[in-house]
Amino acid sequence: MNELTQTSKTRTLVPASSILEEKDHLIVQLEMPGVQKGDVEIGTEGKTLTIRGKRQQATESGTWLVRERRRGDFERVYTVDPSIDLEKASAELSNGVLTVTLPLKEAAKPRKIDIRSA
Amino acid sequence: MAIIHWKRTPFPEADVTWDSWSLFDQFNKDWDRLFERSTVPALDVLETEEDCVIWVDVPGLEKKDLEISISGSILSLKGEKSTQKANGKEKESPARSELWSGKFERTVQLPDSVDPEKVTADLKEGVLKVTVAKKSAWKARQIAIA
Repeated sequence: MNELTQTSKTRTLVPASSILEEKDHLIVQLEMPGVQKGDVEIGTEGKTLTIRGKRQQATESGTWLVRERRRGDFERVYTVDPSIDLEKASAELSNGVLTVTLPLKEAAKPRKIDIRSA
Repeated sequence: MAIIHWKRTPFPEADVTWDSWSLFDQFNKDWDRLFERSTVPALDVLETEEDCVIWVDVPGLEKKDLEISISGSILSLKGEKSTQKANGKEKESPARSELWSGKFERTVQLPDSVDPEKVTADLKEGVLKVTVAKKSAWKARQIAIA
């Protein structure tokens, strides 16, 4: 019951994201407006990739005339294919969009096979 | 006792011009709305004694993608969100996408007390913050009792 009444502090939002597939890596983009660089947390554990973004709570006081923006921290958990090398994952935050690059493991990369002429 | 007009049909809205497709039309509209993705950025407007502050969530947009104008107390925002770019180049189609792209436009009616001459805008971490000061004449003034 406590969970129902506690709203603003514990609420997490799932950021909208897109996944792009490249030849040797995957790119995950997450929209996290208002999240500062130091407040992004990317964790890997086994097959899961957890991305968290904390937002500073607005402290302004006054009368809210419009209030549409959702409040809370962002969190999204992905289950990652074993062909991805999570150790080599990198991330970049710009303009409120977090871009995570997930390289494929060497063994999973497409390989060109030469045909020997007989 | 009030006299109630007697209706033959059990559904009053189905009276006179009963179109068997209208229900489907209505349903379609509702259905579309259910899956409609927001293509307008969410915004907040806070009024304080000194000014009026507007925050708009515009992740992925740069300064050049936004256009802000104010006329009187009406603030308009225009912007274009481009398709996903990774490493600067345009991608054909993502494997999975929840992000929207396209043009958007929004107008916000601010209180009459704002001064359109005193506007500052700031874009940080995908959040646009527009501060419009209030006209000095409208600011709350303490009046001493003589």
